[in-house]
Amino acid sequence: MTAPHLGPGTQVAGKYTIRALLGFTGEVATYHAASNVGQEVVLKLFDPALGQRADVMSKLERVRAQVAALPPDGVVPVFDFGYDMTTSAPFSVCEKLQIPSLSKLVETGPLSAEVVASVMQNVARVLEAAHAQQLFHHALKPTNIFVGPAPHYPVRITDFGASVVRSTSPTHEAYAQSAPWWAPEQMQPAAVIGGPADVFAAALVVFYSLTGRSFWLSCQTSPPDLPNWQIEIMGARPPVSQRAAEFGGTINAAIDGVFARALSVNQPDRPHSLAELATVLQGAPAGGYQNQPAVKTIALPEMDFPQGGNAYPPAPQPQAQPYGAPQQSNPGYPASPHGQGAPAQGPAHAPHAQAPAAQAPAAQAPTAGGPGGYAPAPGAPQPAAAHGLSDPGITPGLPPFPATPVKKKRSGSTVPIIISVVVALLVGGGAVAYLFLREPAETTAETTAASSSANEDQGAPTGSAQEDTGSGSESAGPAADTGSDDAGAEPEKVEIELTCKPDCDELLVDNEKVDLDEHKKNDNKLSLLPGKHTLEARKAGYYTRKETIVIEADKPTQKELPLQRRRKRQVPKPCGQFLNPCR
Amino acid sequence: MKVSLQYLVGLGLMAAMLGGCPKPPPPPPPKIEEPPPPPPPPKCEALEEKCKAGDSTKLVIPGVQYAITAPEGWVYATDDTLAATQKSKKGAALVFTSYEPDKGKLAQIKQRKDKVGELVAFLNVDAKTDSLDFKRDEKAGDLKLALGEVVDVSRKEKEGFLLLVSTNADGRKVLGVGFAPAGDQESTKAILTAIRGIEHAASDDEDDKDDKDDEDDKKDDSEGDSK
Repeated sequence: MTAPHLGPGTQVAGKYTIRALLGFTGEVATYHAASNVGQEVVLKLFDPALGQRADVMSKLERVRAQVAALPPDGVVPVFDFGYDMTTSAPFSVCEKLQIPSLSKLVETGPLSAEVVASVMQNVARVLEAAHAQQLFHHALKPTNIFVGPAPHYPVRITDFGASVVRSTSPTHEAYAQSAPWWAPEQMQPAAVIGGPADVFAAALVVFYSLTGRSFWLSCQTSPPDLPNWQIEIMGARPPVSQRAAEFGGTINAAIDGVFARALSVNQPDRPHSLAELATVLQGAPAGGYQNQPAVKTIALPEMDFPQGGNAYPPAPQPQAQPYGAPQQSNPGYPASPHGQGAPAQGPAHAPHAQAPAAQAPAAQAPTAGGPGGYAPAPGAPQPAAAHGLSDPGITPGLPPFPATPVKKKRSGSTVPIIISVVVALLVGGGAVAYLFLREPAETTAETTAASSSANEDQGAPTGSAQEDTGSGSESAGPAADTGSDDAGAEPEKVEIELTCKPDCDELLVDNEKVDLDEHKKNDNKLSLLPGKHTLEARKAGYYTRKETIVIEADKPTQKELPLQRRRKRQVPKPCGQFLNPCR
Repeated sequence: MKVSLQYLVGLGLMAAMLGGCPKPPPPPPPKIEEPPPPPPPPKCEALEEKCKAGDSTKLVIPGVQYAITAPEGWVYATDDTLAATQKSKKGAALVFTSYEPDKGKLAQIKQRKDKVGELVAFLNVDAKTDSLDFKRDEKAGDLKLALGEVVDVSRKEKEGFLLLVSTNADGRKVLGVGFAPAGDQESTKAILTAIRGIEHAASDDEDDKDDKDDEDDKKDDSEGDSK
């Protein structure tokens, strides 16, 4: 079962009227709704099956109580909770925020290190108060952090308890949306998950805020490449400054150290407090990102409607020239109502998302813009107000938002041509270089080949998606690139010690079964030709693990294939009879 | 002469037979045995005595001045430590006890867990009582009840649910455990009613005492009038 899908106008519990769907993760549907007294609210409807789970409902109740005990200016407490009799679905209601989410802010351009530092200081303050009462978020991501105006950028964090629902009734949608912000231990069913998972997520959020990109290469597309993400998250990571440089941006290398710790696979290696992360960030402000993100990342999930409260009109810019491109590239981010004199009618935003024009005195300021209504001068840094924090429609009279300057596209027609030419030159040059330098390069490869790719060396636990890796894997086929033709003779086989942890039921090397009894007799040793080989380990109750290994000549290798136990499908406990009677 | 002598002897014998012998004594009257004394009323100290609860049978919880009303028709028993009632050997059942609380919260939690284990064992219920969650608070008269429920339990292979109730009364901890088979809504309701109806036992005693006093007064008055 999934959460009920309700159309606009539907009544919930006789007191809330659905206006628009904000998000859907399978087990939870988030709606913009209005109460009978006209209050704008965010209403979450849960999968009715969850309502039958006394344990889940009591956990959610506990989370609600803990959130209610936190300072209300840092969180969004649930103020109504119950069951909708029509759908039998449990629901919760909280305030609809009128400030943008971090995701929305970054959507228009990466933030400056100073702003990110301020935001993270506030995030740290809220989360550390939560951690003090053993309340962990475990679903921290830019769409759950709502940011107030300058100069202090207060934050309000939503969706505490989302992990309770997610772990109870995992759905692919929720997994795809949440996983890229997870810590490695959140993939492991038996792991103890605590505050360090939030530190890990916060570090990812910082990177995203500074660059507009996910830290993970496998999450640069939507939906993310989850099988590769599972490998990437367990593998070695480059310093954040290097990763930013890969994306064409710059992050101060001074923060590499603390980020390496924050993104550590091992929980104890991570900073004990989020404040440490924020403080280091504050001390190294010379970061920033120079390029507008070219690819939409998972952090900006495409939904039918924007997240509650995070859709807001950008500020009017009296000096701005018409600039329509941002609206086109950002569906869901409404155009300024001030320039048009009416709420924007973007295809992907809910009608509630507009701040009333009456709240915006500056809205009456004359704008030179057309329907877009705001824009930086061509070539100039993006005005801070474009981030919306200084939007008078939301916060009249606030100082502008000090965003990192972001270069906007000058023209929609010349850039693709330039890129095409550069790509053509690179491809052509690469082909020529390959033809001329092939032999020496291959010889070098033979002598310096790594024993295995960095990701694979880390023994990445794999999810169910890894099972799907069929025989058509890219890495199939042994010794494809060893250059053995040049040697003119059969290369000597290399001994490799190959083990499964725990012992596997079936082991395949290059798609051929290994006789495990024989293998054990040989002290788990095999003889393989140098070069690439595929390894596949299978065990009942465990995810199949498939890896590619590169064996170097004359270099005995040890390889362990760690197997991850399959997540057990949680069978719902029977509901009670006295206190929580079954429906 | 010879004949007459014989005749005379015969007549004499006949006369002796007819009127000369004494009458035999009458048979003794049958013995009337005293009826055996009536059996003592059952003490209702064990469920095996099968004392059936009436429509308002109160079971005083040992150690405190509070009582529950046993569901009508259920078998009940009370002793120095327990007040118990059950519908049948495999069916719904309810048992209460009270105890002196240990010092310290953790010690009390452990003590409560142990006591729940004892009550569960008394009812012959199989239940995991490692982690108990008394999550719901309710009021019953002047008592604040903490209620919890354990699922996946069985009593003599009959699956069901366990209701736990804990409260403070007269400086002691009062603990109750109720079992209802799955789907037995009637028993579930009966147990909940019994628990929610927990009340001060002294109030009934006082009423009885008052009634008795009234009767004595009336008696005195009537005797005075006749004099």
